[in-house]
Amino acid sequence: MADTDWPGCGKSLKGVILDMCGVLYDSGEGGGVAIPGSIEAVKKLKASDLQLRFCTNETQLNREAFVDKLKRLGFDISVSEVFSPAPAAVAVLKERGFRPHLLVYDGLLPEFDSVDKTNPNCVVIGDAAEKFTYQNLNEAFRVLIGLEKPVLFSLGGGRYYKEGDGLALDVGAYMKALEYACDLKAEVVGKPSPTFFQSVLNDMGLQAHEALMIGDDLVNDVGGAQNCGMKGVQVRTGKYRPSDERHSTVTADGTVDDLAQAVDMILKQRH
Amino acid sequence: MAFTLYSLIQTAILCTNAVAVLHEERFLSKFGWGVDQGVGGFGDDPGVKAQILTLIRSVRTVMRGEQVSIMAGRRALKAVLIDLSGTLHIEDTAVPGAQDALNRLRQASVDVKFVTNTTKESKRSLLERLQRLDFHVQEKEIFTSLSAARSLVERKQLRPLLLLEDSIDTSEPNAVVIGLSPDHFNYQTLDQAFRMVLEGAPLIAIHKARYYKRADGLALGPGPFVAGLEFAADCRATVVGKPEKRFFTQALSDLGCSPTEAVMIGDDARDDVGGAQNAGMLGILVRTGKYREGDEDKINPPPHLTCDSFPEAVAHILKKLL
Repeated sequence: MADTDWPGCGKSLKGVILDMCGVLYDSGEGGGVAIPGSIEAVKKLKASDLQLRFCTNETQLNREAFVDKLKRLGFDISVSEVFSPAPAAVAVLKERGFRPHLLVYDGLLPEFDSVDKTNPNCVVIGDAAEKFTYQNLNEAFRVLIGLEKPVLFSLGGGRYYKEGDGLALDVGAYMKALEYACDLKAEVVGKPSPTFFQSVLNDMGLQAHEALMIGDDLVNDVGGAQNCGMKGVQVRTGKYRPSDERHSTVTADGTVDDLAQAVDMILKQRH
Repeated sequence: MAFTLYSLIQTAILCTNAVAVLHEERFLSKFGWGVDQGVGGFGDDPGVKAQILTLIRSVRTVMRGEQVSIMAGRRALKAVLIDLSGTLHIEDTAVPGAQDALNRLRQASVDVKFVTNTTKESKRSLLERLQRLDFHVQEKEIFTSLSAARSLVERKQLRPLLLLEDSIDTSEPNAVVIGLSPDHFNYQTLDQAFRMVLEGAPLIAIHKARYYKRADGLALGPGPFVAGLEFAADCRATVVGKPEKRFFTQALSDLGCSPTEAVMIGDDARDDVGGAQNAGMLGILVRTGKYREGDEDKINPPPHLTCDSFPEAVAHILKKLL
């Protein structure tokens, strides 16, 4: 059993998937601040023989801008290694012939440039932050309630995230609000949807049991990964709360102080 | 075959029932066993046939007597609860014919109460609007979920963060009270409410209406925002307004009548009609205000009646329920 449990499983791993906000950096004033030890940890992973991908539900910025922000913080990272909901959503919209009414942050709009937005037949909601005004939510609600078959796509389903020195409501709360108002169930694109995790695994060419997910969100990062057959480890940074370690449905394979500790534990197994 | 006591009793009950359901016109009369056939005058000695006929009629009378007393519990209508926004009026326009219908209802000697989940206006301003629209209403006849919320807050001695219109600033709030308040439903105030609830502050919802009808179309009610906070903070709100049973029983409490003696008229299938029926009342759904095609199929049991508007509902009550 030792080899398949954490941290023993570190020996047989072929790939690692990292959540970004709350693991690499924390959101806040001036674009955010890197979490101590994370920059080094990423360097160590890249130097090893493990495959590495980044998985985020970040929807306030498009990928290019987002990666630029992280590079400025000191991270060695490129766009092709980053998986976020917006491109996945664009693919789904085009595939299934949906024209969206968008309720997303301005910074994310460029991701949807190639999508037909006339005469909307669905609503796409992302982390719109201060664009979550009653007016905008009402507009999205009216589009949905006016459709014969209302469809709501949510870029991620997180309940909250760490911002500054407190917690802030994430897109999941607003998704629930619209679900309740229209009596429908949203389709989540992004964590914790299994399709999303699978697309990352496909890109790495790996099976689920060969990969490990490290995140700060017990339900969406760890739970979502475990649901796909991956191992999931929670870090005590970001939105972590002590009550997570006594959660009623999700038990992390391991809980570590931060990314630096997680990476050290993995690499030690591989010597 | 042994005849147990039970099977004898069973047989007796079945026979009595069979006698009770013998139909006068369709069956008995055809065989010359009807009420007015073959029974002699008062002085005569009753023959066997007459005695049997008397027995049949007695059984039927007794059985029907029980039926009547069961129906009477429902038929003795003492009170009518009427929703305001969407049923009697939509913003500043009265529903056509509603004023006359209300007057007719009052003449029928039933108690009338106006119940509303609205938290944007005080009783006084609700009253003024109704009077401007020519409705004859008294302030004491209006019952709002805001009153229900206030009594809960006072009873538990809470200091509320009020997401309500015209909120009174309370320092160091330790509870979140949410009503319909578009001005407060923005991400800053919601984040503040969320952080408080996460720390353990009770979440009190005046009501959880999904949406309501405004002059310019449908608009989100407080329900979606309460649902969002419940999801994010993993908690359940205490709801004091419709469709909570407590709201309806409180509304009827000073009229001295039980829910089975009352009927509710409203435009919201789930909150008005569903809630009232759940409390033991009859519910009438009107097709005005926020009503949308097919709403009557969304609750179980379905509304006692679905009709076009308040005047039709009153006509039904006057004709069938009194």
